[in-house]
Amino acid sequence: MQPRLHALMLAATTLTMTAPAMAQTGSVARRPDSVLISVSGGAQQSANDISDHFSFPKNQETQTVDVNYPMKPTGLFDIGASFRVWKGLAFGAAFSRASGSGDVDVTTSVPHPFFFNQPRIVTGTDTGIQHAENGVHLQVQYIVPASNSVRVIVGAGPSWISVEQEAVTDVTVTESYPFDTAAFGGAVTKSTKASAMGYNASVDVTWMFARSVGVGGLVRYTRADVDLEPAAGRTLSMKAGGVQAGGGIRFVF
Amino acid sequence: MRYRGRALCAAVLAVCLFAWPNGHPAYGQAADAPRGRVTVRTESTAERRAWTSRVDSMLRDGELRLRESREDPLVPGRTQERADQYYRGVRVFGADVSRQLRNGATESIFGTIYEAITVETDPAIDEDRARELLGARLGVTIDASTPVELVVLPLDAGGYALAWRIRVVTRGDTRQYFINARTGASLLDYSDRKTQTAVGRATGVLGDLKKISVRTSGGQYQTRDDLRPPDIETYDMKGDPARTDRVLIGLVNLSSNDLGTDADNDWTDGAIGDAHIYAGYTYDYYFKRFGRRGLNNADLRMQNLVHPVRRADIDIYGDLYPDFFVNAFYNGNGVMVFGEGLPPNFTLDGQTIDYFAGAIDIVAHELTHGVTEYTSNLIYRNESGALNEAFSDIMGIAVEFFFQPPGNGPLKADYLMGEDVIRPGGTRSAENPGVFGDPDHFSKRFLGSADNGGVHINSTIASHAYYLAIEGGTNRTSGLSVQGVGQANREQMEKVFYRAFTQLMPANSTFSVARAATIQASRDLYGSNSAAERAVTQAWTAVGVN
Repeated sequence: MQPRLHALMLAATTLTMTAPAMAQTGSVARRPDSVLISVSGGAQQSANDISDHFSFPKNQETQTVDVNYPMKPTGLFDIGASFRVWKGLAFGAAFSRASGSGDVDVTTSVPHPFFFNQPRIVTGTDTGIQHAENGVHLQVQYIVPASNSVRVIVGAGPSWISVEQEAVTDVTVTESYPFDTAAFGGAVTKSTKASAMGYNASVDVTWMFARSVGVGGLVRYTRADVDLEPAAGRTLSMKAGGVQAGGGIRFVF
Repeated sequence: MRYRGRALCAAVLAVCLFAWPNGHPAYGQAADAPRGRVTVRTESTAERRAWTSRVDSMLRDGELRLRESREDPLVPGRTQERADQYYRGVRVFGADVSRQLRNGATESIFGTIYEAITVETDPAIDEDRARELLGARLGVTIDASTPVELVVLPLDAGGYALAWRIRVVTRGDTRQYFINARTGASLLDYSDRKTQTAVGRATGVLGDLKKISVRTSGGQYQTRDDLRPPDIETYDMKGDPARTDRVLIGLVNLSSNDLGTDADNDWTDGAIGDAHIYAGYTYDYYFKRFGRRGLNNADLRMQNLVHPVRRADIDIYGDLYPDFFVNAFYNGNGVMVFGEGLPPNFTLDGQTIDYFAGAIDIVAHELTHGVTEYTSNLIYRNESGALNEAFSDIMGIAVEFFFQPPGNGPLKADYLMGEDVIRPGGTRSAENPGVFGDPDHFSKRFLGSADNGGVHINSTIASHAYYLAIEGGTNRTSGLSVQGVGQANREQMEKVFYRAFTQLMPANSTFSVARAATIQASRDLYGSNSAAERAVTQAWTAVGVN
């Protein structure tokens, strides 16, 4: 995770807003509450690594490229709001952004310029490949009054996830006569975007330590199947989303 | 390559008279930027005298080293020399002179030399480290086989630096890099890609599909190989024997318009494709097996001439240009000519003759004549001539085994020469020379004057010894048996014969000298009393050479 993300999460967890409490119990007088605002920082573990395979003509044969994008936990920022509409029933909306960078493992089979069926197998790793996901999550929620000061909100609903992925589009190899070996020179990448509808389900546990302010923890699973197009006619399918976990400040109105 | 039974098929080993480009403009004689650089031209008698004296002095002192000297193909009596400047044994990059001699006297000198060079010539980093440094800089791994050269680099800003020169091919470019051999710093780099290379596919004479290295020019593909270190060019003579003849004797220069061409890079002219590809394969073999860089070990340009006649013109030109139909030959200075063969309804001694370029052993055989020319230069008559031919057959066989699987039939490696295009059977056998009436024993050698004293006929005495040294077996004449090194160790015999024939043997060698030289080579490479020494000793004894 990059330092920038750490700073973002820290800021998120220390951010304070003033708003009426959704539910106040215990030492804090209970009052009608209708809105909860949450601001959280945390991490996202994506569902799966991304694997890509593409090929193109080279030296009268086909050069194949296999790319593996290991999905490591990325930093998460999340902001959301819940609107109680009737008893424990609420509607919620949240925006999340998970971003980070990592390495990609590349394996390519490069046809020999002089001979058929004598490919050179070249492997290498390219670093600093950027990945980011923006999600908008809508939920139907049920507010579970666990105690006077603790609220548990469970919800589920559709998600719209936009993915911005730096994708490998080509591989550079270095070679020299007699061309029996080749070395990895680097990956040529291109930033590509795509979005898709998916779903989400979450649990948010909030403890109000003041009249309108509390802290909470969020666990959300969200998922959408996104088809990126790093090159014309080539699709890179990935499962966006994953398990999001974080904590932060809560405000109630 | 000789086609048996016809005197018209005697091989030609002539001096090539091709013109080499002389691209030096007429610079003024003056020191100019960068400092120390002197451009040389000789317009006046005084200048010519002064520079003649200077160049002769530099040649004597080793400051200039002759790179090549060749007869001028256009002007009789003229010789062209090229020499590179060296500073304390290190070549000065971009410094050379070209001198034209007329009957031994200087006619002109052009060139660039550098003066007042002061640079330490002991590198502080070795060539491996230079590769590492450049590789780290480029973010790539530079293979250890990538050649590097230590040079003195004149700097644009003035002064000189000791540098490692490394040429690196990447997917997008080919660049020359100069790494400071004292500090490891980058000094200079520039693109060295002159043309657009392309890899095509070619259907050979026998219908086999292979890759072909060509270049693109003017929207079409041409048979010039820019991927291998030397220029390998294949020219389509378009069935014009008179023009081919004029090219060979130096009256006509070939140009890029004469290169084989194809519109879609899917080559269907088997003769052009195979000549071009097999010449490249032969270069590859010499490089990979022996580390040799082409015919002269300095990447001499290789030029293949195909379609010197049309088969349909056999009745017109058969007697006038017989070699253009039923022969292949090395014409000197890297020039090969591959015969057109005979029309399908023609046979010669019961054999059909296809395009000579379609046989890898024939192509390798001819190119090996070039190797011999630049090494032992075995005199092409009598025993030394037979050894010259034998070495070409031996290397032809070796190249065939290097690229083709062992076996019988088309595109299979065996000990027959030319069997892929001279069908059935080929033209000589190292395994059983008697099949073609050739001697397998010194006692049966041809002693007449024909065939330059039997250079082709008697070659099988040596090539049969090579066969026995690998495969083992019993000589049919002497009845002596040989314990060969075995097929798995054929590389040993290839290296033994290569070492002997290119490094140890003199120009006027006899079979006896060849025996001693190959035994010495086997000791050098594999030790006394090694299996290789025993095999080669027994083999020569079995063929009656002591």
